[in-house]
Amino acid sequence: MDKNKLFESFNYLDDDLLQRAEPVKKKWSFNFWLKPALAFMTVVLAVVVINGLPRGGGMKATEPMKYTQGIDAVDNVGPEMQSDESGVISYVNESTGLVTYVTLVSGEEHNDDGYETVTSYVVNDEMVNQVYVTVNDKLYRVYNNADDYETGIRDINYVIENYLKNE
Amino acid sequence: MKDEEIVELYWQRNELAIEETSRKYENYCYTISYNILNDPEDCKECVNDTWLNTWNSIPPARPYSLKMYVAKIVRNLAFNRYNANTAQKRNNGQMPLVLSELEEVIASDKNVEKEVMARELGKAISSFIRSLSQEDGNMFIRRYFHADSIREIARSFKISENNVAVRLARSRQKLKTYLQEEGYM
Repeated sequence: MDKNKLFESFNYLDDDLLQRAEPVKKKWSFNFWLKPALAFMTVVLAVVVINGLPRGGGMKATEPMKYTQGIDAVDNVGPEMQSDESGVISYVNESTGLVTYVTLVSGEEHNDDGYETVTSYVVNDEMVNQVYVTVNDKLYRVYNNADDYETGIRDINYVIENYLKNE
Repeated sequence: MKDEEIVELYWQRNELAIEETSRKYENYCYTISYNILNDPEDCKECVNDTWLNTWNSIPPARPYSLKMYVAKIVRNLAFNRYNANTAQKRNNGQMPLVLSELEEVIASDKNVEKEVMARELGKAISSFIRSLSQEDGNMFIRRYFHADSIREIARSFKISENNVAVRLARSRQKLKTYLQEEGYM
């Protein structure tokens, strides 16, 4: 007998022994996949929840221009502007009823930018959605859709500082 | 399709039998032949020859387990091809190791009275394997029928490779003793 014949003789093993030795295929088991599936779903849920949470806890910081709708160069403010003794001009928007107080001062604050006339302004403290600004003797209406005082002031300042100075 | 239905197709000389056999057992037969030959082209040829051999042998054969039937055919074909090749130089598979391990079982004593027909020897080895624990017996078959690697067996049985090697060595020693006691060597 040699090793080859011995190897060949295994061909004549009983079938039931050969079948018994077959590797058992893993059947899909619900329990086997349950833990990985639950872990995956937990991760997905966590990501969704975290992304859905409001950030900052308050108003988002936005560019002022988002609230500012535009700048009009106006030659005529339309309704009569009145100036009181302190140089405050009040303007009443008849359609909205908004009273805008604009204080015109000659200022040095922007002299370095070349303005000769600077306007600072005081606006209605309830809502600020427009203000008239004079820069270099030119009157501008700056308007926005801010719904709070601070934002309105911030937005108008932003427009004046970044846009009107180039006029 | 169940094995008995496929076998019936062979008996009816319906060529669908080959198609069904191939669909069901091609990968299985390929694996067995690859373990022996370690060459994809040779394996494909062996597998194709297996279907031809099966067609030519059924009938008159009516195997109970078609799977085991084709497994033995492909194994035999693969081993014959292995011997025919200059495989000692080209083959990097398990066969050199498998055969060298079996050589331990063969008595170096040349006073072998007679050679046992492979079939009778196979039956004897079957009896021997039944005397082993089920796990040891299965491991033995996986190694010397399927020519699976030690690593693959270890993975399959979830034990270390060293454990597999030791248990196979013990089984080989026992087989040697058994064959000597039974007069086969």
